[in-house]
Amino acid sequence: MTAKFTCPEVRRSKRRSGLILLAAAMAGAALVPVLGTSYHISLVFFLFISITLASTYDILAGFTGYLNLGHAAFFGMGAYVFGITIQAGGGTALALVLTPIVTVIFSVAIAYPLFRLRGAYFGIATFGVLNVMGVLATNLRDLTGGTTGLSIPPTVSTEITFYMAGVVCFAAILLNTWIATSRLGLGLLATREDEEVAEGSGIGTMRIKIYAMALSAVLPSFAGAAYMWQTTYIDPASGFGSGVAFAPVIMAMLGGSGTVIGPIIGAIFLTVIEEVLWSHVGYLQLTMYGIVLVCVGIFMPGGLMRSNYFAKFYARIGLPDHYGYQPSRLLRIMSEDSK
Amino acid sequence: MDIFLQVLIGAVLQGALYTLGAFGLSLSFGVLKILNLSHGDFLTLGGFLGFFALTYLGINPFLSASIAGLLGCGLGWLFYQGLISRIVGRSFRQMLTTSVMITLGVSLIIEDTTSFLWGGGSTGIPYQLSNIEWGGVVFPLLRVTLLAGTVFLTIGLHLFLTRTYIGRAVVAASMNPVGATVVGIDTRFVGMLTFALGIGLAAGTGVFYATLYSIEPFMGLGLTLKYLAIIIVGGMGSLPGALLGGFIIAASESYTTYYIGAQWSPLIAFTILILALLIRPQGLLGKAEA
Repeated sequence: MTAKFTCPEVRRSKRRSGLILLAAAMAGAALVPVLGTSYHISLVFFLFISITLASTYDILAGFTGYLNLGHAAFFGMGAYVFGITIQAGGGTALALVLTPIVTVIFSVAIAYPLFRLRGAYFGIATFGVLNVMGVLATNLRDLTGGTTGLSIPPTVSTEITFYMAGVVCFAAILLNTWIATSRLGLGLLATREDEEVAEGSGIGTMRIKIYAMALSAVLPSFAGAAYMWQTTYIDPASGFGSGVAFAPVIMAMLGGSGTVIGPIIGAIFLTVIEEVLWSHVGYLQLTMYGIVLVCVGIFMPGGLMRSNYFAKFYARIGLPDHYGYQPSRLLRIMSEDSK
Repeated sequence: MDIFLQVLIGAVLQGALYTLGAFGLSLSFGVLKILNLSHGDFLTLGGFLGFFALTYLGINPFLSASIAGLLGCGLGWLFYQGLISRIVGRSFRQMLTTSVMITLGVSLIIEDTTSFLWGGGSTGIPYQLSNIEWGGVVFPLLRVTLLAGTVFLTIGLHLFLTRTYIGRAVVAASMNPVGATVVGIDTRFVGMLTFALGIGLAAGTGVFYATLYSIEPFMGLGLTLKYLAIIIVGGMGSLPGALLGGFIIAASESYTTYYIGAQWSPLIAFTILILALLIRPQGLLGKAEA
């Protein structure tokens, strides 16, 4: 019962090929401020934030099976804590320390009661928490500036926030990779497949679910801080609105929930679609967005990554299973049995 | 005290409307286990239909509510046959995630298309009846008639669910789909019927809603979430539960708006929802799952 119980299928050589690809992609992204225009910088910046939100959302939704529709609360909270600290004269360093601490404390505080719920109920309750946060941000005017929002003076160049978002995004992908291959990840997957059986096999399901919630809260709070730092402005709609709330959910589902690459692909795919629609089509963008969602839901229920075309593709380039199809073959067999 | 009563009457009416809209959602979630995030948008569609029926054709809201109800049933049937039937029967987790995607997509399509055609901004159905005063309390006749209409519909629904064969099949299918299949109920047909009926009910309610309050293209999702709060507070799949939940949420919203401030009223529905989920996850009148 020691280290042998990490996912058995993952071999070191295979794990490395995924990391090389990731490093190459990140190196390419790091060159954007050098070669690209300010449009490219802001596009990739928002892509980083989207990937961070989608990947961390998937820690809970993909690995544990709990749909956290209020995931954006961590992002909004990060932005607000960062902004409020700077406005109170605390300085950037203090703000960057406080942001994750406050968010993680918040996440653990809501995790304990919320994890008594399952399935759709958990999703609705977390969305309720997000809405409560939104209303609080609107109404506590002295602290948050109400509907007019919170502004901080611009202090740094966009490159610094760009690289901060990039590092956060990189960390989010690494975190997911680690979870997919770790003992904690195996426990989470067992919880997803059958919570009672997992509990019966000696997994402290409540404890690891709270770990997962806390882990999924850290990086979005930094993403929120980076967002706040770059745009120097946040209001309740852009921090806690349903647009921010559903984007990561849709990205993860679109790409393939429960995989490392899925949320990344979903985030890139949706960002590209949005850019094309918003810049080339003047009207009915949301309708087309909706049609894409419906089509993916009907024809690719497991997301883009689980469609046959993609599965073949990354079998060919040698990515390990857990990056794509399922975290390990053992669990794939388990989950097919339970259907 | 008068004001207290006045607010209470408003709350009762609003609660009745909430219940009618929410109940379709509760039924289809109970039978199909599908989270329909586009439910509130059909209410908006019904409201717009009522608005156009009155302004261009002069049809009064009570008639157009039944037309909207029938059309809504048709739309719900199409929606079910075209999209929902393809995901029914997948594994539970997959059904949950794909239903979120599909119904959210449909919700976006409806909201964006109506705002494109309508041009944004909110509207109400300009239809009025005179008021009656009794014992110092003003009863707006329109509201009282609508209340009577919703009570009538609720009783009708209750009788449908408890007295008719199909209604009892709906209840059976929501209690135990496998058991219902074993005793010879076509659960797929029942699912389709429930879904269509729920959407028809929402569309019909939309006309009432637009007569009393105002509607706008982008309010659908918010309404759906409020409905979810109501049916969870009351208990999934239970008509009396939905009634109770609707009244609790409407009353607390109305009193919060009056005594504390309108800006806090959005907080109430979700606070009650979270409290209800934590204290009694199966809802006030729901039965715990075995």
